[in-house]
Amino acid sequence: MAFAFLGISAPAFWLGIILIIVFAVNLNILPVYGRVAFAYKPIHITGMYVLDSILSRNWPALKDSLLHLILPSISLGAAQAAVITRILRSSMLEVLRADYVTLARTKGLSEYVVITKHALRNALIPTVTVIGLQIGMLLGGNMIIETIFGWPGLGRLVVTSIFNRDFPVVQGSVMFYALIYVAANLTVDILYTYLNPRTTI
Amino acid sequence: MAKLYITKRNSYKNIKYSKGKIYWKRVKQFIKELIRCRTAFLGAIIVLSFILIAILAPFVAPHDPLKASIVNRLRPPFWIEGGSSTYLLGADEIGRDILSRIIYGARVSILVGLVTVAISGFLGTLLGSFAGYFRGRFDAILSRFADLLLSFPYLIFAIFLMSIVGPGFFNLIVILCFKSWVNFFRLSRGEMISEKTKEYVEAAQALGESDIKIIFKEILPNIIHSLLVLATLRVGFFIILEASLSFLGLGIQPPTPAWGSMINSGRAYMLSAWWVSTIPGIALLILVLSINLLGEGLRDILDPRLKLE
Repeated sequence: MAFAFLGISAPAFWLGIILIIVFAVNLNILPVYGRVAFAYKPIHITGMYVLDSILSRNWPALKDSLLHLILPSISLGAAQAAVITRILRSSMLEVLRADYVTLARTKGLSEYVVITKHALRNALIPTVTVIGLQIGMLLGGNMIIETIFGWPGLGRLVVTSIFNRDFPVVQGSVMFYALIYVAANLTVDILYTYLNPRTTI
Repeated sequence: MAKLYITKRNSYKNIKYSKGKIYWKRVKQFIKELIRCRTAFLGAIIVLSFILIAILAPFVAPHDPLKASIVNRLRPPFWIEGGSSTYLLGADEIGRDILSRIIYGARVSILVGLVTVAISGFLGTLLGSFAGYFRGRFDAILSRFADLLLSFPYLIFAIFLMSIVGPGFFNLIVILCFKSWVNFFRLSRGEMISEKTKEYVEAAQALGESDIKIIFKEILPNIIHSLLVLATLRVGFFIILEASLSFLGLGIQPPTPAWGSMINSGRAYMLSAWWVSTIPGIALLILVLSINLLGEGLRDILDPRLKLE
């Protein structure tokens, strides 16, 4: 829970700067800037470097792209992980008080089975809602992380076009964001029927 | 037999139940419970000390935050060699003292957070209560408008509006309030809808009380607890958002000290002078962490009481 609190309280851009200072400057194991080192850039099939390196079986490129992914993901994901921790914890606390959990325990099932098979499935329902919302949030407005780590992404495009008064680009990007958000929420709704078979779309 | 009924008509004078005394008793009970929950108490102490330091900034800060001194450019904090005790937390790239800038920056951050939450909380609660109580077209229009506002990513929306109206403190608060009233709106509307089904509302309506009186005197004191918790947690969120906007160069303009712009100016010196970026971020982290601890403690204190009452 301390981790959860720290993750929510630390601003993402500051966490990124701290990670850069710690990992790249002092420890020198993880790369800091960009999406992939220039020598390892895979062939352009989809434009997504991890996918391209898998499709073209370019294993050094895969390793390099994944290494470049680590630090930005951590600095973005810390806050979201904290939110998910809190929501899952509070819904688990609620679910573990239910009658069917007591029944599962009296049946003699191991604690692991009780928690994963019976309790977790019901506790995941509000969590999956939050995850869907977070996917929508994460895919928009990451201008700061992109600036710090030097990724030429959609956030930077939108902000640059706002500053240059390039409004058609802004319109297109906002439509794209809305599309991703709607798609994420649709996926969440479909996942609901798997988690709670009584619900129908 | 009729004489057995002894009516003491003057006994009402002995019961001293004034409204003020009940509220004061509740406040004392609340403070006692706050002290018992240690993390929330720690959070409250830290937040109060930040607020106190921010109010007394001209007396507490050792140096003038705007005074540049090129001789002391990029001086490290006092525990690293090369640092002096006059610049306790080091100096930034033109020699301004970081500790003083943090103290003055606390003013800006706390003010933005509190004012934004106060305005948007008031507005959102008002609109949400009316929308939830009266329903109908008013509710439908407002809810669709709220969903529309929610569909934008927060930062992009804020950057967009800032680029139109320009930077500045007042503009920043207006833009932040523009989107944040939606959270309070949705919460108060949801609570109002669920409270409206309860019997005491029906009883008040049967007594002939006007609708507005029912909203403010009966229902609102019951939903104010969750609104307070939300408000406390949103203060931390807005402090981080203001820091993000200042980091990008919108929001509070330099040379006025703001934590976000301090982190931004330290980005060029990340390799050599890490303290210029790191230390304002630590201050931001401590403040938002204690606000979140306080909010969580408030939630723990207020919610179980809500169930017992």
